[in-house]
Amino acid sequence: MGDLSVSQVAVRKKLLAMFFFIIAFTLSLVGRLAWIQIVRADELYDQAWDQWNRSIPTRSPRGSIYDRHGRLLAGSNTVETVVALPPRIEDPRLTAELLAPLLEMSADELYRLVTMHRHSIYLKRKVEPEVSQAVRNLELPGIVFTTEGKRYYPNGTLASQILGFVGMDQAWAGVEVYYEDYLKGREGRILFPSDARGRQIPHEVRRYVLPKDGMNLYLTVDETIQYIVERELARAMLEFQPRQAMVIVADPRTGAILAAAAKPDFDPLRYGDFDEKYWPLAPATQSFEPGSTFKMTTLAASIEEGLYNENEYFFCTGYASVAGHNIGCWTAGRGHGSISYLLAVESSCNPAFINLGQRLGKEKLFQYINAFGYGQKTGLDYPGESAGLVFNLSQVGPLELATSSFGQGVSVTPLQQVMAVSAMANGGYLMKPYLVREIRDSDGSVVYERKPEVVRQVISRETSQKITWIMENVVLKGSGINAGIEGYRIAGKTGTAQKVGPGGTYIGGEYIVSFIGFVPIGDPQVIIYVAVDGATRGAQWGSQIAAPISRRIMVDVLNYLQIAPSERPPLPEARLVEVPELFELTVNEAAALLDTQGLLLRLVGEGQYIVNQTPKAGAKVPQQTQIVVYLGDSKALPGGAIGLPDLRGFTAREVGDVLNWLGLHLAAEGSGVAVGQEPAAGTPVQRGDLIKVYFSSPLELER
Amino acid sequence: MLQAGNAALRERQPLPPGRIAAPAPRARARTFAPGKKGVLVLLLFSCFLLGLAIIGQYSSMVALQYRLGRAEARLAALRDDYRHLELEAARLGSLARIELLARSELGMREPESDQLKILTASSSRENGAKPKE
Repeated sequence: MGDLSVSQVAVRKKLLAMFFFIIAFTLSLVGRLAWIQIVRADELYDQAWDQWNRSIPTRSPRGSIYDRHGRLLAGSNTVETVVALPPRIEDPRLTAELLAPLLEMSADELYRLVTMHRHSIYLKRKVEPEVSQAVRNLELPGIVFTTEGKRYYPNGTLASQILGFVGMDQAWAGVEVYYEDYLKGREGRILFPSDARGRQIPHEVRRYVLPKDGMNLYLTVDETIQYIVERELARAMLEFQPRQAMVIVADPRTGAILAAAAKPDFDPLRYGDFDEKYWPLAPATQSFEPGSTFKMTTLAASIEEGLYNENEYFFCTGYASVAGHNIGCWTAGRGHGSISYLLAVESSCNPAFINLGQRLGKEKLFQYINAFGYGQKTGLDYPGESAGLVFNLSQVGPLELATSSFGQGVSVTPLQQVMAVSAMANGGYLMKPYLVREIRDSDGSVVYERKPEVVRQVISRETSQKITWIMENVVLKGSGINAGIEGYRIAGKTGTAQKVGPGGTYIGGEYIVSFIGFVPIGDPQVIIYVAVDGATRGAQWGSQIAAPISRRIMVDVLNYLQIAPSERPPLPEARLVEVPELFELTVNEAAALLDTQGLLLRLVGEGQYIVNQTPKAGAKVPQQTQIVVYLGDSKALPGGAIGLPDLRGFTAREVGDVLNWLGLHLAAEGSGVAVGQEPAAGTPVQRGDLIKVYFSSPLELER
Repeated sequence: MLQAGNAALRERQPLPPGRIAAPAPRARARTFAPGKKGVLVLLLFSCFLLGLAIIGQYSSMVALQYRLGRAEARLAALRDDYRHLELEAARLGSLARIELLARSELGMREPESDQLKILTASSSRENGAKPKE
């Protein structure tokens, strides 16, 4: 019995131990369950969601960009991307070799991609439809396609610097990048439960994140005005062969930019083939010394402060002595002599403006310089705008005051000048410039509308009217005469600024010539700024290069905008001037002579002296006629074999005249301006040879 | 049902003498009245119809989903076509192309400055033209 009791006690103990063990085990399981189900529930649910579900991205097309009249400037389309699924590729080497010529990639690179340990990999993104069709025709196992959006610019290079461009996944320049958040839209997603192989379980769509289409931008830019501007810039690049040329056309009443461009520019579809320095819109991102166009600021300040009297006389000796330095007038030492302030302004006399600056004093002058917006960003909705550079008041001594008075020692952007002169034109209001006037969603509803914004009133309406009248005289009788258009009242000012080199010193013989003007006086609707940097053909004067470019653009713009002439144009006879004798003169002497008559100088050939001209001396021609001259080192037309001059940029009539002088025959092809020639410029030719010249729109050269 | 039938048969047989009629068998309680049977049939039939309706509704929903999917795909394709055509129209209507065609195919050229005459509104009126209203 005793043994039995001991045995029963032992069994009971074991049972009890087992009981407690089971209880503890159960409790630990319950605890673990609570840990999983309560404490880590959310985290584990999310992990499980990712395991059970697959998502397909649904891409929405990027918003389009339109001009002010709704004409498409940039749009998107769907194209295919070639994708490899390496586990399903049967013969990687053959696949790589077959795809290489179609995708324009090396077979080795493709082989490396298709043998990677990945479920899928992009081989080439956003290929053209014909390429994807050719790849599809190969019916290669493991090669599939997915669709993506691709940006297109139907007008090619037109407005490329304003628009910018889009890389593989995001925008990189222009309004494309400035308005990226509006344009790109939002990628959508379809989330669905999947089986172990990743296949969708039917009818089990659990969540659908709707894609949001990109919004559409409506610019202030007018496609037609932009085209006119770019065509004339391209022509200027041929005619004057400068380093760079740029134009802004704006509405001075609102600050809306109607057109803006610089040449050289770039093709947004092949942006990688162009130098990065041509990507930004130079008129907003580049600053340089403005030269005489800046004098309007000094003049406006002087008039507003009552320090300018147009009937007062000033004596220009050819230079002004300031703080021990002689600052020369552009007349190269001759001086204007005794002239009224009105004439001094019309003839852009540097010492007269230095005198006006000294009357104002540095505080007042720089107060107006700052009030007109110089030295600050204008606030244009465009990336990378430059603020320019003006002296701090503490840095301004007598020399800085003097040079700033006539546009030296300051660095400003063309856009700042356009806004400042707009204020002078519109009654004194400095406007904030803008490029996008409206943003609409994909349904066409307006989500943002830009209204003209006044920054401040800088000068009074009376001062504005006065300065407009003075600028009108510059175009009627002064250096702006070559910008005049019959029947229209135009105000303007030319500028010729010496270029500053990297060391801060002026570069001899290198100039930026410019013209700024607005039309029509009384109700200015268009303001234009033209700058040509480093022209290598022609006299480097604003009146000879920038003013005629402005005139050509404005003639077409006024016609396009249907702005009627405000007054009866002068009779043709009244505009006739006599062509002066230019034989044996240098280029600068001839330019000075022609400038006073309102005639234009065009150069052919190389050399120091003018040896021939057309029309001949004594002929009566209308103002703004181009006088084509042939240059040579000896004072006679060359005989025997001669180097064929560069004829690009000339009209058919001018080319005919030049070849006729040289005893050569013309075979013309096309119409427009000369864009090419056979033989090439510089090739030795004999009298009687046939020269083939191709004429076209200058923009054709860019395609 | 078979039990219920036998019970009814037993009821119709006469009892032997001296025997007291036994209480009604328990099976009698389980017999169905004709009205209840009809309700049951009706219920089953209703369930059947309801099932059919649910299946029909479900298959109709699936069919609608397919139609919706096809319509969405069609809409996406049409939008894609629209974008294609919009780009093509813009390319064909570009000013550079029009100028090129005007020069090369129509032989057009810009007028020389001496071929242009500027008219003002006043000179038009003097020439008898009616002012634009």
